[in-house]
Amino acid sequence: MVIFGGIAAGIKTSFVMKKRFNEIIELRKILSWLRGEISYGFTPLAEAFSKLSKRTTPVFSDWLISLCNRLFVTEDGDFSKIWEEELSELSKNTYLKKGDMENLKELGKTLGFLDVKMQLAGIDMEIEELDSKIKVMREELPGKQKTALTLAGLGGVMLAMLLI
Amino acid sequence: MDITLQDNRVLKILSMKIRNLMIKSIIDYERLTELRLRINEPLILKYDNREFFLGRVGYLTEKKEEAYIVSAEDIRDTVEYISNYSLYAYEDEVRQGFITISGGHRVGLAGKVTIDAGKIKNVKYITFINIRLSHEVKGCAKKVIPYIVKDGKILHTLIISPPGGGKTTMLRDIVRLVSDGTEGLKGKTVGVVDERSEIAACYMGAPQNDVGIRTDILDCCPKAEGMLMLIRSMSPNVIAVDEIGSREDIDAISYVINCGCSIIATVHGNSIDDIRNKPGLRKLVQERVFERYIVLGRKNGVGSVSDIFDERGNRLAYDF
Repeated sequence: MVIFGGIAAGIKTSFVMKKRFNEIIELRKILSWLRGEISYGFTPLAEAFSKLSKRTTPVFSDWLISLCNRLFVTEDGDFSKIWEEELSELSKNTYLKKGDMENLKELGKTLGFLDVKMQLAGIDMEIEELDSKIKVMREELPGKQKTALTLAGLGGVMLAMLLI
Repeated sequence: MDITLQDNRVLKILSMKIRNLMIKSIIDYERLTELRLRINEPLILKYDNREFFLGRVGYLTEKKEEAYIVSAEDIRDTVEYISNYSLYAYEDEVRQGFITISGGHRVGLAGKVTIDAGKIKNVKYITFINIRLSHEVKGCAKKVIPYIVKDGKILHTLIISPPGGGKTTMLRDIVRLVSDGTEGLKGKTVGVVDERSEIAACYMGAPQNDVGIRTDILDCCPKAEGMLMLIRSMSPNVIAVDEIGSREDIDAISYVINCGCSIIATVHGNSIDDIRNKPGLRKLVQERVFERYIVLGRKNGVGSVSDIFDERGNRLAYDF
């Protein structure tokens, strides 16, 4: 039982790592679509979020719809505040880490502000950040997943031995 | 008091403080034509063609000392809401000095202008906002239709009025009536070049105002290019454009007329003489290109017709 518990914990850790990796890739896709909407169509943020929500996974889709609704209602003051509040809602439903969220928070300070160049610069910076995370994760993820499984399994075995 | 969609479109672009005061003031938005926000100055409304201040506790007043003073925060929030948090999406419009919002309302912007290579690059500190409310007055053009139709054909028509005189409202209703058809006139295909989104008030491509069932719209398109595009692509019987004046507009109008299309256009001015003094338009008047001139006045309220002339300047009707 204890051994199986350890293995299950390992599988879960490995699953969380994989999920985070997938979500970072999805987030990168969203940002590059957003970049396209802004640079090609000069699309306002609410409209862009609404369009992007139809192309992404449920977690991000719900987040984008909620953002879009709040921007349309125009009752909540400045954009960065809305962005921050919606990010904290997103963090409840995602596997992204605190550091990932902090980077996204920074993006909220440039979005909607000044001209197109400023929007694109902010998005590009975030994309660059995500790209480097993806690169590192792609190289390290299989190894880390294996390690997590092995350690959790061994931990389970050791605990079982101790209990015996 | 119930707030209609039209009212809400106006309210939702205002800062929350001003929005709440406006709701308290129980304003009939059909009678409201203009709102002026100037930083650290009273908020002024044009209501029933009279000027009022918005009171500090939510009512309209003529006493300046009771007026609500517009703060920098009000202006900042209003600019955010007008642009839907995306001022970058309206760079061209801001450069021209106005943004048209959903419902066809025009928001004029002023402040510190930044210049790049001798040209206006942007308005940096937007501190003055003028919101002009668009009103759809269905039927207001019914009385002029008999004067602009001859043998079932629409005559080339120029509507003349000063800013805020109701020419866009008149043009919109003419478009609707010509497109749908009315007494003595079969419906015709109408092409509208709506450079400022004020005629059809398109939102995401769909008209918010009733412009008729046979109307095609080129939204946010420069007039001169739009007229030529419509001729090539949509083969309209009638082309309608608002606020003509540039050399390119005049050339495009000549082309439209030579293609067998009728043109209905509007221009700023008080009389035909004003138009004769405008360099480009003078030529069209002298060549008798326009067969009807509709001059709008304020004698019987905004948008009332003060004169209708034919191409020779003979008065056909007045004051109705």
